[in-house]
Amino acid sequence: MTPGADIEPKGATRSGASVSAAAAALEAAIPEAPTPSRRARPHANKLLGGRSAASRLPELLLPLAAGLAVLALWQAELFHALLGLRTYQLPLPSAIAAAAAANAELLLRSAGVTLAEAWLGLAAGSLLGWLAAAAAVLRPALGRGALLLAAALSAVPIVALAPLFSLWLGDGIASRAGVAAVASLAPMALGSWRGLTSPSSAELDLMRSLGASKAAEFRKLRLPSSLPYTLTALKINAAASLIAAIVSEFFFASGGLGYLLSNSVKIARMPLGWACIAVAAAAGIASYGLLQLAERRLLHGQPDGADSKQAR
Amino acid sequence: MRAGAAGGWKDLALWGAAALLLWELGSWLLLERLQVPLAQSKLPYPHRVAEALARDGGKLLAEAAATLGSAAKGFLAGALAGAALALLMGASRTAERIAAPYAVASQMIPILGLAPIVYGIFRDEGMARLLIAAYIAFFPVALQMLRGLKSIRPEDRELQRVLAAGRWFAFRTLLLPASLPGLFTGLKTAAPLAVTGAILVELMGARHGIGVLMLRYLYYGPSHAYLFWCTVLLSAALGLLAYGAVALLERLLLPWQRSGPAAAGKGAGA
Repeated sequence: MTPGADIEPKGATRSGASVSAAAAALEAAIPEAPTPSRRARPHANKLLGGRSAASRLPELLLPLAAGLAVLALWQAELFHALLGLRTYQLPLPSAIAAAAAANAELLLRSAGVTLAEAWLGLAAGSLLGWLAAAAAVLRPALGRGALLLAAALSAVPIVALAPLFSLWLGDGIASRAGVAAVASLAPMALGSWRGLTSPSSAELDLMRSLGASKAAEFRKLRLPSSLPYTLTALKINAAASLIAAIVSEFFFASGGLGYLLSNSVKIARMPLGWACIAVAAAAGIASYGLLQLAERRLLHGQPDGADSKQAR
Repeated sequence: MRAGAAGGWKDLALWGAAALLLWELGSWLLLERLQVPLAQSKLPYPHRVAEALARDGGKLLAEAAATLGSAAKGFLAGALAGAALALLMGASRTAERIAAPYAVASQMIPILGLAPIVYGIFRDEGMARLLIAAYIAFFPVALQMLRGLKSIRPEDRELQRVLAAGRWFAFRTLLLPASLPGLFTGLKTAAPLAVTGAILVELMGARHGIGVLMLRYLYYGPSHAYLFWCTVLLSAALGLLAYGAVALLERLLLPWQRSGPAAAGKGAGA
């Protein structure tokens, strides 16, 4: 058990006990998203260059070999035989690679559009979500309702939002960024709230007994202790905003990976469609990796930062 | 505790009412004051939307039920497969080392992008909806449940080994209780996404489901604005319903815990 895995639950129970039960209801509504990445961290680190290459290699060898084996069986048309598919339905890896190479420029341009939408939405939505969390901490009466609304918002399907935002913001990049913003609002609001309320009552009492103002308490105690939670929310949002951007592009767009993907499928150019998926996956992993890197920089020396370096 | 929870609901109701009032006001502002083109499509009067819902509610609900049904079936299949994978990874270190990196990577990539591909492969809406919903549920459930399994204390395992406990006994008394909280955490993450996935496939060109109506009303334009908004609100309600159903089931089956991570911590540390 890594120390980092302990930090999260402790914070969760503590805040559940000290804040009123209304907050506990909210706690239950929080999408449990911080946990996957927390559980995932040791593996993710191995994948994303957390340790020296030499110690990583044997750990990576097995999954890599398994992946290659699947690709080889796919190329040998085993899945086609099993599922009764033709190659025009499920293209072979070689065909996908060829399509990706032939359309490299188009794919890169589309990925740029999609990433711009996703990151714009990620920034805007995360900022709004963080502000909601801060408001809920500083003015509980006002902010808690906003948080509950945010929790409800997180259950709304993206596909329901896409047409609304294209009505409101037109055909441009803004409408997809808007959807991405809504998608990243709730995880950030709830994650940051959890982090901002993670200091124990003993720590808060100490601050108060030293005559610290509410502003100082927020800046010196709550903000630093919320940082790991905020960064985890940001990492979740990296994938969420990308999904939101791609899904909205399926229907109301004139560019981007989602647009290219759904168009390729419509005109039966399946290899190009699969190439889009591969590029989208690479973009998602790259975004996640970037944030992971930023997290390691920011949390250097903090217990949460330390846990990621510790071997399991 | 109970009074506090009621307070939470009161809060929510108050905020809901405030939001509704703001909506009504905003709609009036757009339509009467600013005279924005397509004002009623952009933000229709909520009472007109409610009217439309009351008038065509039966038909809309039938389509929504079709969506929810296929999403639920796929969700169940995916959750079962994910649970099986988690148990396999929990039992075999090799399996975990092979599958876990892919499960983790799948959390970072836009899974829903697969919807058109799956629809393209099978050209069958029922099958495609089922597969997408299943795929979406698969990895979160597998990952979270594995997390629960990993939280079992080695001492407990050793004790059972010393007592020569059978496999079934170990599963029933140790593995199952440890993995259930994680299972529900994964299910709660995946439930709204499964609905999204099902609706996505419908938008690709299915014949039934709330997504089909949504697209149709959107193409009909301003004359069907209220019905279009009905479909949007209904699909939002489906997402909430999916989440609520899983949360309710969790409370029924695991009444002693409020949220996943807290309980997982208790199992591991306390």
